[in-house]
Amino acid sequence: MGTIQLKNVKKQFDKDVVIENLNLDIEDGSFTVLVGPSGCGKSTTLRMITGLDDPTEGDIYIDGQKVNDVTPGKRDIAMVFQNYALYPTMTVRQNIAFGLENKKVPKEERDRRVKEICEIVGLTEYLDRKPSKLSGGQRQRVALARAMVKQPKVFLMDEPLSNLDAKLRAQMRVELIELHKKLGTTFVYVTHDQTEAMSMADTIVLMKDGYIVQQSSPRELYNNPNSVYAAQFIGTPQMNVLRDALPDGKMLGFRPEKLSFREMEAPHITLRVQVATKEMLGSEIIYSLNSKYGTLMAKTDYEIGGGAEADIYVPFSSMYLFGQDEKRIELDDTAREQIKSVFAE
Amino acid sequence: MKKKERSASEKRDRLLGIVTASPAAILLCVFTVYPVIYLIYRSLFSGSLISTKKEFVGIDNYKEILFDETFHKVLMNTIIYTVLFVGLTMVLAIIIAVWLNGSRQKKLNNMVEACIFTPHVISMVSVSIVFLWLMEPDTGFFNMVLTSLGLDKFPFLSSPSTAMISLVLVMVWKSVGYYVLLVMAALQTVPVSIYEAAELDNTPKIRTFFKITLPMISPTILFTCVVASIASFRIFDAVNVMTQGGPVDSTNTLVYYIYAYAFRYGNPGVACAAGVVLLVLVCIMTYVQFGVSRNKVHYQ
Repeated sequence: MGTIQLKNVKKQFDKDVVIENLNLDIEDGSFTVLVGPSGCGKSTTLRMITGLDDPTEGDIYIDGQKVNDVTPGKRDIAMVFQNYALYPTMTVRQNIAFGLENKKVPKEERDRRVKEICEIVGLTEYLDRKPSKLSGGQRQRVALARAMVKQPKVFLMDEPLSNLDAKLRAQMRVELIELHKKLGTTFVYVTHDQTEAMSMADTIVLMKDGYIVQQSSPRELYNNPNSVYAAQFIGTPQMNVLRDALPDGKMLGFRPEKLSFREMEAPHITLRVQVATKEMLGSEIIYSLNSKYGTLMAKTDYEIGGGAEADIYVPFSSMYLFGQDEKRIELDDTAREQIKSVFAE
Repeated sequence: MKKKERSASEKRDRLLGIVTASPAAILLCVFTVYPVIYLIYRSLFSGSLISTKKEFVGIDNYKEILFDETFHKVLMNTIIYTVLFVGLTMVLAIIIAVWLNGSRQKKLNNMVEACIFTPHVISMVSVSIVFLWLMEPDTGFFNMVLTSLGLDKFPFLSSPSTAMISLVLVMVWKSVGYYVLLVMAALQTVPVSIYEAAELDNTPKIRTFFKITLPMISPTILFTCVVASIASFRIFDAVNVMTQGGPVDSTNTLVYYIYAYAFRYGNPGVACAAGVVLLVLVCIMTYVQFGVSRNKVHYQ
């Protein structure tokens, strides 16, 4: 078991309120990713779960047990740090076994567990090396092994892949997903990278300024964002949002990959645009388009020359409507009619 | 053609190297290498400081100090002083530095830092005179405090059995601030996340200190030990002002012995021989310290 609950949690550093009132439920065995821009409070939330930071107000529960007064070492959790935080003066073996020694695990069992974990993460050859003699990827594995060997209820990871190069990061992402499947333990992962969040999570907690904007599965977050912020945070290039097109401060959004240069039968709107820039990515092209309503992004396999004028088609089924407060509102028949009349002009 | 060009540029680089390094090299030769060579050379001659007459005596000067009981005592005193001084200073410096580093009361920290560092910038002669007065057996401040508390008077510098420890305490008081700063600087290089990892590993505080903090700052500890040992082997001014090596040679140290032979007894030959012994001892000690600590010090 490894459920986590944060109830009415507030965190304040001196006079600076980082988190006002956070309520979060993390299910047992889930891979939950806390994602958001720098300073949104995701790392602070993680650190409060670990116990390295105390909440100013509110309660934290692990497995239904209040842990506010439990020291980090006794919360039955393990953490992988952004900079790995390996003990530089110890060998890989000592790094991994250190937590077990503190727990007074007998030497034989300790050796067996260290050996077992090292085989899983592929560190057996490096057991007697110091961290300074390892590559970034190997250090990352040591940090993982150190967390795994403790067999915790919860794994907490604070941007563990951000120090790796792009290729290794992609590889480690896959390995972490596999590891989660194998262990079945609760993973809480902090990142500012939406690709990491989308590819690894089964639940994404999108944060902004210390509160949760949306908590849902990656698919749900992509298909049904509840606000302009959520809509634009997920997806590259970000969702096009026409802020001045509709009356009453309403905003119209559609994803760059959903608009088309090809005429369509489904109910749609048409916009006249001019191609400003063109980025060839191989399988698809990203266009920046100038329109009456500002710059739009398009992601398509359709080829059109730079500077050319064209019509683009956006189906109603791929549209999102947001109110003046930037919250999502229903795209009902009245709204459709309104949009139709605006874009027919 | 290319080869020629490269060799010309290599020559230019070499010349530049020689030109830029030579001022330092010349200074080193004039003020370090030459005096050492002259020290060894002069230790083989007899004759006073003022007379130009010198007589080659071979290793007689060395024989003289080798069979001189005072020299044996002086050597032992120097070693005892070094062990006590380095041991006490390092233990205190580490304890104070760890405490200051862990404390979050900035104002108090700054005050303590200022207080313990101030003695380091006061001249040794002034410190010696102040402590002479404080440790005066009859009218000194320390004994006044002891008697007012109903305790026995402590002889401090006036008894052979307590003079050395008194001297050590004065020197520790004067120097510890400097070493605290060095150790603190090292402590601040230990990343906070390593302590956090240790906390998550449920490491008791004492174990964190011995297994993480101490190994992480071991290069600085070795450095400070070596520097403190060399400095204590060369202790002179405090001895000269406070005890003149007494009572009964109980605080007579190697450099004071050298000074006494050269300027009091007018026998620079013996003084130089003792100087050579000091040089060799310091070299051996430093070598041993580095050797012993090779496996204990963790360079990153």
